[in-house]
Amino acid sequence: MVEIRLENLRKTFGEVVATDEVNMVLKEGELSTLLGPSGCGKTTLLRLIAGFYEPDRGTIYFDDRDVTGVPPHKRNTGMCFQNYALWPHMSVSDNVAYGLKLKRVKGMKYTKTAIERRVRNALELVRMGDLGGRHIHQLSGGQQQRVALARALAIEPDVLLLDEPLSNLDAKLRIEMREEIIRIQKEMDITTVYVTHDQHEALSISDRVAVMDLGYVQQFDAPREIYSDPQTIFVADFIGQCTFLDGVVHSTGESITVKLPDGQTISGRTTIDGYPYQEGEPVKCAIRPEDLNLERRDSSDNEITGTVTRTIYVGSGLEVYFEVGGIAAQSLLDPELKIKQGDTINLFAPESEVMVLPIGGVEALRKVPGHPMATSKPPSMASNV
Amino acid sequence: MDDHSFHGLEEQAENLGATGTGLFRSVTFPLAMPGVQAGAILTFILSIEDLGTPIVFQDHQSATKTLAYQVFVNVATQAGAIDPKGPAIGLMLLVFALVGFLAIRKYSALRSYESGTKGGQWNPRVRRISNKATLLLYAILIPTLFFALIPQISVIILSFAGIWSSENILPDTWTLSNYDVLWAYPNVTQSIRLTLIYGAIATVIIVLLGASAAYLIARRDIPGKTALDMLVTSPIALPGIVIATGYFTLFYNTPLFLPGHPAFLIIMSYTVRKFPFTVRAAYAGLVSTPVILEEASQNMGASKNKTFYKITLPLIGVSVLAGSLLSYVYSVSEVSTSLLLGSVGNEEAPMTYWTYEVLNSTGIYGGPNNAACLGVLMMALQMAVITVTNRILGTRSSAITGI
Repeated sequence: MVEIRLENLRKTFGEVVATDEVNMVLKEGELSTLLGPSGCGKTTLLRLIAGFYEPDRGTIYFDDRDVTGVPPHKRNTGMCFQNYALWPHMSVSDNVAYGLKLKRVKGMKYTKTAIERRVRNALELVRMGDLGGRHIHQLSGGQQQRVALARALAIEPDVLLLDEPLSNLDAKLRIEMREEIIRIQKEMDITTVYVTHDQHEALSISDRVAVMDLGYVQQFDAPREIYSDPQTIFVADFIGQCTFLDGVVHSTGESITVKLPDGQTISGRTTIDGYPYQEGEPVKCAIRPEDLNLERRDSSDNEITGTVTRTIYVGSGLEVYFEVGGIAAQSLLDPELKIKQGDTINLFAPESEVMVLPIGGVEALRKVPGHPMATSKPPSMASNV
Repeated sequence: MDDHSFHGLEEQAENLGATGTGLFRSVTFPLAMPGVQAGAILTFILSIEDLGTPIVFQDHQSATKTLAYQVFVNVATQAGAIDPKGPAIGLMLLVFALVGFLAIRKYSALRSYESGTKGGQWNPRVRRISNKATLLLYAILIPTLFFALIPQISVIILSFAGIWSSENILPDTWTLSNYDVLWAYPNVTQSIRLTLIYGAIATVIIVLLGASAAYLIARRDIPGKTALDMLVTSPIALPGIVIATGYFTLFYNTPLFLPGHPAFLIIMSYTVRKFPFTVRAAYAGLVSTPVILEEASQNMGASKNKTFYKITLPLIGVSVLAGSLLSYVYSVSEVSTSLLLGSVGNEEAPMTYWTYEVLNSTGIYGGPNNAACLGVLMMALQMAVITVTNRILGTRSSAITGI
C-alpha cells in the first residue's frame, strides 16, 4: 500500500494551463476521485501520476519515493483507460499476463505456472474466469472493462488508476461495475485514483473527492463535506443544486449577515474555517432546495419571499421554481402541496443551512491562514471565479 | 478518408433528402475530390517521366520527342561524357513534376476531410442497381476493360507465338521455345537473379528506414517534422530519370559508381523511389492504432522500446508487410533508372534493362517474342505480389497503394 503525495504540481500544454498548484495527499488504501467538467485538468492529473506527463513544476511522491522523473514503466501503477486499451492481437489471458511476464520480483521472473495462476486469479476477481481464451473482439463492452481491470490488477500495482472507467457502459451495467470496483478496491485494499465527470458516481464510490475546475483542485474532502461545506461557489454549484443570492456582508460574528440588493438581510454560516469576512465584501448565499421550508421552525430562520414560475412533480417531491428579486431560485417541497405558477410563496431557511461563500473561488482561499492555497504562491495569478 | 466514415456522411445526406446523382454530386464527389486530384497529378507525373514506352517505339519519330527520351539519349549514349543537354532537360522535367506535386499537396491539405466517425459501420455500403442498368454498365465496362488489357493480352500471345504471318489476327503456330531466353541466355538469367536481389536489398533498407520515419512522424514530436513528412513523400513526384541523371552527374567515376558497376546506385535509386509506399503503409497503420494501446503497455512495465516490439510492431506489422511487398514489386519493375544506370554496366543491369536489350537484339535470343517472355515473367510477379497484398490487407489496400 502506498500513500500518494502531490506537491505544488503544475502542468501546461503550450499556453494552456492544464492544472496548477495541486497539493494533495491520497491516503493508503483510499479511493479518491478526481471530479470535474471536461477540461478541468482531472485526466491530466491522473496521467501525471501515471507518468505519461512530466510536470512543469512540483513533486510526486509514492510514500517517500520521489517518482517525478520516473518513466511510466517503472512506477508500478495499474491503469484502466477510458476505452479499455486492450491489445487486439492478444487473447484475454495474454492481455492479463503481459505485465506479469515483464515483471521481476527480486531479479527473478515469474515462472510460467505462477503467471497462469495469477492470471486465473485476476480473471476470477473480475468474474471473467471462464473467458481467458477469448479474443478481445469477442467481448462485450462490460466484459472488456472487466478484462482491463484484471490486467491492471494482475501486476499487483502500488496504485490503481481509473480513467472514466464506466463512461462507455450503459446505465445498468454502470451501476453493476461501480459496485464491482468498490468491492475489489476494498478487497485488495489498494490506493486508487478514479477520474469521472459524474458527480453521482463520485459521491457514491469515493472515500474522498477532489472537485476540480480550471485546473485547480477546488476542494478535496469526503463526499459529505463536499456537499455540506463547499469551499467555493463552483463546488456548491457542481455538486447538487443550489440557489445563489448575491449580497454584501453586513455583519460578522456567530453568524454572518448578508444584505441583499433589495435591502432584505439573510444570515447564514461560513463553510470555510478561518476565512476573514470583511464588512461590505460581496458574497453569495447558497441554499440547497431541500433546506427551504414552508413554515418557520426557529425564530432565527430567514424568510424568503418569491413568485412561483414553475412547478415539477417528481414523485418523491415537488420542485418549485420561483423568483426572488430577479434571481431564479428553487426548492424541494412536499409533493402533496397545491402550488401553482404565479403564486406568492413564503419560504424559511434555517441560518445553519445558508452557506455564505466568498466570490473569487480558489483565489479567496488564499486569504485563509494555513490553507494550502495560502502558502503556495503561483508564478502567474490565474483568474478563477 | 476511409470508406466507413464516408457512409455515415452519405447516409446523413440521404436523410436530408439527397438522392442518386444529386447525392453523388453534392456529397460523394466533393469528398472524394482530394483523392481524385491526387490521382490525376500522379498520373500526369508518371506519364511525363515514362521512359519505357518511348524507348520501345523509338523508331517512330514522335516517340523520340518526349522529354524522358531526350534525357535518356543525351545521358546514356556515351557513358562518362554526359551531354549537358540531358541534365538540362531533366531539370525541366523535375520542375514540371514538382510544380504539379506541390500544387496538389497544398490543395489537398486544405481539403483533407478528416472525420471523427467511429465504430459500428463495418459493412461497406452497396446499392443494388436494376437489371437494365447492370446490362448497360457491363456493355461499357467490358470493352473498356478489354481495351485496357490489350497490351497485356498481346504480350502473352506474343510470348507463345511461333510463326505469325501478318494477315492473321492470331499466330499460325504456337511454341514454348521463346521462353528459352530466360535460362539459355546467361545475361538474361543473371539479370533476373540480380533484379530479385536488388529489389530485396532495397526493400530491407526501405522497411527499416520507412517504419522508423513513419513512427517519428506519427508518434514523436520532433522539430522539422513537417519537413520530414514532405521529404519522405516527395520521391513520388521525382521522375526516375531525373534521379538517374543526378546520380550520373554526381557520382560517375567515384567509388560509389565505378565505370561498369552501377549495382550500388541501382539499389539506392530503387530505395529512394519506392520508399514512400512503405512509409505510407506504416503511417496508415500507426494512425489507426490508438496511442493508448502503447501507453497501456508502458503502464504494465514495458519500456518504450519493448512496447514498440511487443505492441506497436505486431499491430502495424501487416501494414508494413503489405507496403514492403508493394515497394518490392515496384522496385523490380522499375524502368527509367534501371535503363539509364544499366546502360553503363550491362553485366550488372536489371531485368527491365535486358528486356529492352533483348527487344533490340538480332541474335538467336532477340526480338519481340523473347522480350515478351520477360514481360510475362514480370507481369506474373506483379500479379502474385499484388494478390498477396490484397489478401493481407483486404479493403485497406487501396488506401496504401495510393496510386
